[in-house]
Amino acid sequence: MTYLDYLAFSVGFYVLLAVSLSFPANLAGMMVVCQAAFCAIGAYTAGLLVPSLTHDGGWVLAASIPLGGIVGAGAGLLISRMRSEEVVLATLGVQMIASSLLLNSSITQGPMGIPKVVASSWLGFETQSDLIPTLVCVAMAGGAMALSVVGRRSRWTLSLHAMHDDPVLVETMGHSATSLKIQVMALSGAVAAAAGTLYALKITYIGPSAFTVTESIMLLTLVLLAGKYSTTGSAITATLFVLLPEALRFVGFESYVIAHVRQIVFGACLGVYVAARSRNARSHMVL
Amino acid sequence: MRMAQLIANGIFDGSLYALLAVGFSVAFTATLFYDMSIAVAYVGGPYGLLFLMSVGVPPVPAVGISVVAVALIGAGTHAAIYRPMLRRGVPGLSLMLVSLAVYIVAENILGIATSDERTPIMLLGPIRQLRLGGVTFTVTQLVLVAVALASAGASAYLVRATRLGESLRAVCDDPELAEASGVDVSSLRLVAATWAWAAASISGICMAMVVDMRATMGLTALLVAIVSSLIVGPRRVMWVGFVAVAMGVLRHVAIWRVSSGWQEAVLFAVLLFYLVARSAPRDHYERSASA
Repeated sequence: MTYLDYLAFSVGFYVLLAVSLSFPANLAGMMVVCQAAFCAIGAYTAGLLVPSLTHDGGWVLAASIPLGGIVGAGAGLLISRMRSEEVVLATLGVQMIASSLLLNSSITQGPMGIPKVVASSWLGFETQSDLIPTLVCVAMAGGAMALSVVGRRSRWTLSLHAMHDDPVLVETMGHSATSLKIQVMALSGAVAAAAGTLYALKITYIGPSAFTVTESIMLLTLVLLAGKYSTTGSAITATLFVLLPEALRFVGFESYVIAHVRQIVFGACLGVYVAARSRNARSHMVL
Repeated sequence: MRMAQLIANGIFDGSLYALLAVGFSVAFTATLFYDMSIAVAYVGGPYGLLFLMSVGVPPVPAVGISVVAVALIGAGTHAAIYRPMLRRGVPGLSLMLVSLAVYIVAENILGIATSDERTPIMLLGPIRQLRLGGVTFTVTQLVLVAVALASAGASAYLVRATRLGESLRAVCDDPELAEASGVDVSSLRLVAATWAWAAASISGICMAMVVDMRATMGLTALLVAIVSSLIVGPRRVMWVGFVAVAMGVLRHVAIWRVSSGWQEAVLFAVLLFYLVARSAPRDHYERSASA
């Protein structure tokens, strides 16, 4: 894997994850802190399918997307009646349970993780090139971005905006807020699972340390920094999230310090952003 | 006999959670938001102690200095960040996210300072084991349980039976009315936050004496405290302590059926179950009301 390939994949991967989280967080106002768990569903689906059932990356991706959607819909159903702070706590709980599962289950091979997740073909075409996951990831990230831009004035998106601002009004107008929440969480889970599958096929190893609560919190930070209703903003913050450590590497920081500095910078930005936005008189509307 | 041992271990863990949960509940009663930055105090206490001992301060004064320093940092954080937001009536979710940001920044600074290594604190010398019936425990555990339960009990008493506690409960019920009645709400919230940070640092120090500590251990412990506080609700600080002890016992008794790695999953399953169950009756009332 060349440096540029790694960089392109990382940008695509984080943009895909950020866009997946921006659907519930930015469009519907649901602060979900279990995106890493959804991503893990896709990654472990690839880890379990590739050695035993199929070596085709396309089929693995096709299997993981509906699975992620189903789990996302389940999570959406669980949190559909909760208040905003309870959604944060409940999804933190889901993330912690998922982390325990990845660490302790024999199916996921515990802390050892699953090695050699290599796809030898894509939709029937034999290829061992590790550029394919990068290309698919960048294409999916671009596609998700394009869809969110094209569909931003759609009836469904506007219903989500309305639910963000006033859920009672949405119910009064005949929309089911519960149904909207389940739909947006299913979409979010499906896209995050796709990102996870591509991660597994690119890195060819998956372990529980890649899908921790810290990752979920950082993703939420990226998405919140993008601002309300903005999926394109999420893509920009995700790109900065990948490029910042690369800049720090040239400054000469050690690798473990770089990871911490990145989180400090984005954590501080989140705090300043939310505090500054809440100066607005209509502060309940800003998130 | 193994069950008795598990329950004893659970009471030990639970009493440390109880101290953290009681502190959190005091802060929540005053401010009515989930302050995630209290997890910083849980980790900051033991690391402060470790630093002071490394520069030659004797253990007992080092504990006191560390707790006071962490409490002052908590007071400073509240005064500088949360108090202006609370005055403007910023909603709980925004405050919670800001506190999460404070936690992220502080946790990562600690991570850099400690090079992400796990560190034990040896404060009470060699561990002496005692046996009572079939249950084995250490002198350290006994001392720590006594310290934690005494601190939690004192906090609960203060909220329940003193004038300060009465003001705190009044602020919880209606901050505007309490302010109009002459309660200095801002100062009271500052005291509650300082109190919570001090309690969390004592709890963290006690826990760090029996397990290796690391910069990330605060969030899990705080979530247990939040679960206990959520189940009981604000104001009833004493009951929050009891529920936290019960959570500790549940965490250990779970080992009876599953391996120890699943302990945290059991706790968070309880949190999830509670939140889902709590959200269901609201729907029922809403339906009844609309009918």
